[in-house]
Amino acid sequence: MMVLGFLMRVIAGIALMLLVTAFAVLFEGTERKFHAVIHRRTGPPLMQPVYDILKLLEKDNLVPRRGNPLFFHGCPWVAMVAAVMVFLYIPMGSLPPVLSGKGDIILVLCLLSLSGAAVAVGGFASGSSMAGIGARREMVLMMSYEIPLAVASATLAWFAYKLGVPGHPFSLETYASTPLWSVAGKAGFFGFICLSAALLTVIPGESAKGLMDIPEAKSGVPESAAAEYSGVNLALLYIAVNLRAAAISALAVSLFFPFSLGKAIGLSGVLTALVDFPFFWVKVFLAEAMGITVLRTAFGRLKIPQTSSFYWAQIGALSLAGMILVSVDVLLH
Amino acid sequence: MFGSLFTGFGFWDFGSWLLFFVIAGAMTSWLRAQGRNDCKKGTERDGACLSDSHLPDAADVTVPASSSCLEFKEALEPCCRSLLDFHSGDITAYVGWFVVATAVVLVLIVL
Repeated sequence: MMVLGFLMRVIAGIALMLLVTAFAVLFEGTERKFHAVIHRRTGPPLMQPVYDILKLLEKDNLVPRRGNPLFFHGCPWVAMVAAVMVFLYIPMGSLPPVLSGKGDIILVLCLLSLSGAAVAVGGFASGSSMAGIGARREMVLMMSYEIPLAVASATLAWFAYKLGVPGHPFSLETYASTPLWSVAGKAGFFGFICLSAALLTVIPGESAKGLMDIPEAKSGVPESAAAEYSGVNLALLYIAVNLRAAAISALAVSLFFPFSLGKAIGLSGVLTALVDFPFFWVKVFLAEAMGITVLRTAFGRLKIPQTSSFYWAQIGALSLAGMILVSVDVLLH
Repeated sequence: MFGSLFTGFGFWDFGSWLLFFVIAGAMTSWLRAQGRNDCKKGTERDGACLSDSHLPDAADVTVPASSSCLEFKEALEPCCRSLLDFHSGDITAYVGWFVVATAVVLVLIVL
């Protein structure tokens, strides 16, 4: 029985990792189409990211003369592996995570950071001064958005712990089973609004897209961590970036919007899971569209000092305000 | 599984993490194997260039480590400057800040 359970978990994990990779790439296509529609353009086909990846697989896999081949090849691999593993720890609707009880929110944040760090190390390993600039920017971006991310996660865990919400305070399943909005008072409610808004602004930073398209700088000179990458390595980096965008959106949804549609319409058992799973991915796409498409359509790309200042000053203050309001709510309880 | 870590609040099962790291790694390696892994050796294509203009390689350009966070420091300059102002060189002031910081931490712990 134990072996069967283990095998089921492995099969479910493999299926989920394949599914989320497909979703992440298709989200990119949908996001680009949505962006074009807002601009009243036709835009690329929904499957364009798939065509891009297939094209990259046919290209030469160049290694720069001064590059370090081990790290140059290894970093895109690590970036994708770390990003896809995040989904194994995230509950999806009423479905528990594949690795339920095997890792907490800190592990999820570590995996996201590992993926980002691998992109930066890959840039440094390419031995190009331009890629080095992109890698440096990737690091600065990571240091910038970690503050609101850490404050939001720690505040939620502290709130759940102090109010005796059932489950481990750092487990994502705790928030999926008991949405914290339902136990918060007025101050806590406004605090959660601040924290969720702060977390939504982390989505473009984590995925380095839209107004935070700084390390890749599509619209600028090729000062990108991926400047020297080509072929299959570039395809892996492309998938990894899209997986990170979907992962941080999924994290935001499971922390702040874990509501079950199945339970709301009175379903139970397997039917709830069948309704909640697609509903979860609709919420993830909406979070991604809100965090990336809307922001990148409304605003231009920020400079890197502006980004650091934005995350540390404005968003840092917003998340601290959220933390203070939630603390007040705990004291009032 | 094996290698579980439980801190009282957080938890991490290293065994299952490692197992799925290997599985995810195998899937990524399979995808990687679908692409080409060759390139023409001994050509100019493996040098750094920008629109046909050859750039100096990183080894020829010395960038001090302090530059790695240049924009970060620029963005937080007002904050850094105010922090530097605390460094008065007066040991009494340093001890005073230590006492205040400890008191704040203790209040937070009690809360």
